[in-house]
Amino acid sequence: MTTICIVIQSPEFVSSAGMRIRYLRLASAAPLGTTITYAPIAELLQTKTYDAEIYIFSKTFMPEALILACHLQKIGKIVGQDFFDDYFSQMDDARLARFQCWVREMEPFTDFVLGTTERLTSVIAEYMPRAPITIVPDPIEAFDRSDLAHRVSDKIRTASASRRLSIYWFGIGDNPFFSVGVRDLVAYGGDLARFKALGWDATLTVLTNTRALSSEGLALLRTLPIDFRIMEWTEAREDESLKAADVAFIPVGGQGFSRAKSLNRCLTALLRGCQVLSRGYPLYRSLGEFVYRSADDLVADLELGQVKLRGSQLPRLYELLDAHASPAEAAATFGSAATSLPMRPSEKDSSRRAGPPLCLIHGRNSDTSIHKLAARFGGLSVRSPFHEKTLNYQLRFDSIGGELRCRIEKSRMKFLDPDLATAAIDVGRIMDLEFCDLPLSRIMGWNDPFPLAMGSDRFSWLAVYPSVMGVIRTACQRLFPSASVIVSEQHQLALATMHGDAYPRATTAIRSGVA
Amino acid sequence: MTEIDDAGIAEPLTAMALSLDPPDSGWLSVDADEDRLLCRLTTAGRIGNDAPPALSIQIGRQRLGVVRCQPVLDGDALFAIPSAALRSFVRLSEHVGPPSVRLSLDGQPDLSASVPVDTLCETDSRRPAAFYESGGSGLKLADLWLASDAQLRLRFEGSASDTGDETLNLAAYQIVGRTAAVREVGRGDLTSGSGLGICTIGLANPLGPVLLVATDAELTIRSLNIIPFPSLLRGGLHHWELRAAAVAADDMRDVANVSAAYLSAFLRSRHHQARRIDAIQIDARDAAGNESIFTGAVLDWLTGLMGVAVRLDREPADDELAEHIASLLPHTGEEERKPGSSLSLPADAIPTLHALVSALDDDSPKEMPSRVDSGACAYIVQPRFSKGAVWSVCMPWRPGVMEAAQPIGHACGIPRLNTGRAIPSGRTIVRTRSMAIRQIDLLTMADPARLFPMGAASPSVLTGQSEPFSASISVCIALDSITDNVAPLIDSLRFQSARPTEIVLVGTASSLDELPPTTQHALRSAFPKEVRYRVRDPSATRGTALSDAAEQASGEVLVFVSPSTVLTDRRTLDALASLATMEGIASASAMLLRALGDRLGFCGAGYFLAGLSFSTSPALAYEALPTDEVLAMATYPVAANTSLLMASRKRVFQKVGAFSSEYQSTSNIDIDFGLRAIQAGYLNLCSTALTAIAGETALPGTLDIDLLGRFPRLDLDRLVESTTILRRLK
Repeated sequence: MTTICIVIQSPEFVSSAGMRIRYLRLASAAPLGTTITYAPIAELLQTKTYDAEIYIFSKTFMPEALILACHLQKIGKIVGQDFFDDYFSQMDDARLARFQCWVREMEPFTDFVLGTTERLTSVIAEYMPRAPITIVPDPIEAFDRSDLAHRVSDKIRTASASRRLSIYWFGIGDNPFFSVGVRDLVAYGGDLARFKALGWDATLTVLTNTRALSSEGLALLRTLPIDFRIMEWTEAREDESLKAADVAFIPVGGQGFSRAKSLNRCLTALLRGCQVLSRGYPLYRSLGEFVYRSADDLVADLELGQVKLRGSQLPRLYELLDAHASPAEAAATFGSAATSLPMRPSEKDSSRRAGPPLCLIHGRNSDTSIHKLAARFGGLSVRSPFHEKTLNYQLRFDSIGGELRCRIEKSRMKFLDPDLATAAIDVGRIMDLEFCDLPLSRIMGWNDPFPLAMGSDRFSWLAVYPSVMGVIRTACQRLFPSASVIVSEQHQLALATMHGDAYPRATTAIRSGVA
Repeated sequence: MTEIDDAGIAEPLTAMALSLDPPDSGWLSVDADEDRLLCRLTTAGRIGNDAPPALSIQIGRQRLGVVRCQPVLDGDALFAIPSAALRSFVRLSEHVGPPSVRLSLDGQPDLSASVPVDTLCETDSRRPAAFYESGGSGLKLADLWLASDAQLRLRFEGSASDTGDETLNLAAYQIVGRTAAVREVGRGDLTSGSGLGICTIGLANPLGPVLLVATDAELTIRSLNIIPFPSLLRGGLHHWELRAAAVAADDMRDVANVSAAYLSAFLRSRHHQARRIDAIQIDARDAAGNESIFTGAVLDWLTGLMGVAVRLDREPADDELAEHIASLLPHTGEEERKPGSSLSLPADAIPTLHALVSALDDDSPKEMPSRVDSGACAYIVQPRFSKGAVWSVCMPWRPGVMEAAQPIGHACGIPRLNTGRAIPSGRTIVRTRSMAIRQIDLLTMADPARLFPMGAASPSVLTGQSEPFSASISVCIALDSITDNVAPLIDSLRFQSARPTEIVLVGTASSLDELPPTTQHALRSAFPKEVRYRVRDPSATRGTALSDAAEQASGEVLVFVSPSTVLTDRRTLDALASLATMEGIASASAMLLRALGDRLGFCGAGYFLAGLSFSTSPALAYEALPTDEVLAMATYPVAANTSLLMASRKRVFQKVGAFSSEYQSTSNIDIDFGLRAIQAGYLNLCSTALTAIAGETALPGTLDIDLLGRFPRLDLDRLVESTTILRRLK
């Protein structure tokens, strides 16, 4: 029996769409011999026993996840990543740097990668070229074929008789980074006017989250050329509404985030007996036989009584479902991608020389809790000169006298190369600990010290941040070759400056050749 | 009479279908005066004497209503049909084949005739029908606007309900698709359902001309009106171009007048094919496919009625997205090269009506829209999905230089005209009207953090040249105080991709050794051999100090940096030096950000001309405007750059005459230099694709510089033509 544990960001994530659409369905269809469970990351950081053999991180874009992944790998667990949103392909928006830097940080601790779509996995492959990547589509939920057949024929009959269509748009209406949700609805909503022009009485219901219904969101909806009503989204209401709806309107924008989405929304609508009208990017191309691209085509088929989703076509729909969203198939792929890797021995059992398992470098914004967490897993807490908290770090990189200096807590000297340890100079107590100064130029192989003057200006440090962090990362690796090095940073601009610079596979798009 | 074809080929026949061609035209004679078709029913057409005859009017295959006869003269019945709206509607449709106008004797479908276009349009009225004009209905249209892309809402004064029990129907007709098919697209009742005097009717296309017909219960036509360009109305895609042109856009009468003038210009422009914009080329590198220009309504209107070809100039990098976007455009196959001009647009822009109806370089009569100036780029920036300021931008565009100065990896966001002809070297103040409307999404644009450089992976790089900048760069720093700590700046210089050849410091300390230890240390450790120090006269102005540093500098390019500025983008020196060494460029700078609490906020990106001030003495007023929104990821000419961060080629700097020694404030020094550079024929470029962090003393909001005293012979024309003009429209 193999247990796969999905590591989630918080207990609240259990009620998220990702959990509901993906992991709960996969768990219920898990192949024999495989159990799929889940646990919030905070819980896993507190536990002493890790019962699962495989841990898959899902949307845990936080430094705690890096530490946990590092620890899990060191105790012999297999670590995977699962992606279903593309925050990684838009490289010119600094606000997305935190996701992208996190994936790069996670790469050394990743044994395999899962993604919902081909496009998404190809994006992730740029970040994680060493780990095997497998596409595991979002599976459909269990449904009753007979119910669906009845619902489809009832809807067609009623709509044709009344020439009245209830159209639904459903989903998260807002996004802080991407122009999606109600923006897509409004951008493509012009087509909805065609129903009336073609002699059909159509009303739209917008089923979305309340956050999207700001004054701007409502003002946008007002521009729709069709009568509409708004309902707050709940899982139950979505189910109930789509079962009653004739048409699901699912516009798709062409930006990277939207293009990497799964078939889930379209499948959800089809399985509730809705005709699907999807404008914009042809995301649902693989289900094209059941997806209308224009209101005119839908009305023409309604007039002929030959809509795409109708009783006689259901067998074909089931074929497509089997091909693209079979729960058994998805769960099997999911399980085999996770379990096909050989189990690695715990580093306790290996013959690697002793030393801290990880060095956790605090960047500009790094919480005290991370400092404690590093200690809990036996790691070193490393101060960069940008971290302004006063903590008992075990390794410090400070700006002193206009240069970058490296200092180590005395009790950690035993892990150092003996030649280097002899060059250490006692500098006395800092906070509660005794420290020695280490010659940074010798660690780095330089002839001169590393000049560094930290300005008093709130942001002047950004100019030197990537270079200094690169130096610290390298110094940590040289001081403790067996340790994993993790940067804990949550400052948006700091991450932006580090993006592409502090990682070995930086894509150098600029002509001046800075890497 | 000459027959014209009925182009309504795909439409089902209505119940009022008329007799087929050829008609017997002997029963009716038709003449036209300026605003009417005068139809005389001859004796041959008099059938029966029981009731006054009525003439049925049909356009395409749509029956509009009937016209009752006027008093009979000499035994003939006379009909006067208001024709201005019909004429305009037909002529607007010329590009797709004008729909026929047919007349028939009501109740006698055997007697019908087509009105030839020649007859209908033989009087070329300078003032086509305007929709505010009252018809004979007793109704007066008081206001109208687009409630949505599919709904036209009208408010009437003296509604039908005021005129007793009479009920009027209002029907809207449009050309649908890219053919000449006329359809009734909406109908409203003026007396019930929609409230007193307000009527909402459907539209098939919010850009296509709308023929509005009011009829009474007997189907008698009470008024015929045309809205030639409904997108100019409130809620329409082109509404903001009225505000940019200082038209009182809320006043329906003004909107109607502009519509009539545009219509007239558009009809005239058909005779100047070589001078029209007949193609739009879209740079779709940043497109998502949901932009307005890719909607069926816009494409139908552009490629159908307006006769403009729409093509992709650059495609998105993603093949599938490129294929999808290409599929949205009309497939035209191999097109014959047209003689007109093309407009290059980013995907988030649509052309203005003004650009499409104007003739280029044409000495149009005064009442026509002003010409489109091919030497400047003027456009409107409007938030698409959110509230926010709407801006009018007018930017000089020098081919070669301006293209090369734009960030690579992005679509060029600056609409521009390609005439294929040399740009006239006019010396008149730019009168350019907006050529395009960009619809940006502020959700992802308004945060300066978004524009922060993304390490070395950022594709948002300026590239003026194919090779990295290799010539020598001298960094010039004027220390205002002996305690100035330039260590952070020096650190940031250390990590620049283009290493400075030398750093020239000018300060009041007697030597480098008197500077703060951190500064000394930073300089000596990072640039041990490249630092030169000059002692500055304490009474000398900052301009003098910087000019002195420049004088001493040996580099081909001078980069002036304030001690409080930090170059957070490692490509800054490289990019600014590349811009500064382009032909005709006097200075180059970047967008400056500064700390606003714990966040970075916009500080400034060049000085913009704000206007003439006569508050004390005549002066030019300047502002530092928020170009992070309106000119994000772009390089543009400004009136002046700030010496807090500015690159200049040394020989150009000297030719312009260095910084003035007369001013104390940084902004006056900057503007003085910028103006002299422009006087000498140069441009000053600033780019929002590069960011740096400024200290607290960065650009103030507004400042004046004495105009007459300093520049008694200032060439205002040149100044305006060398500077981006930004104007907030709300």
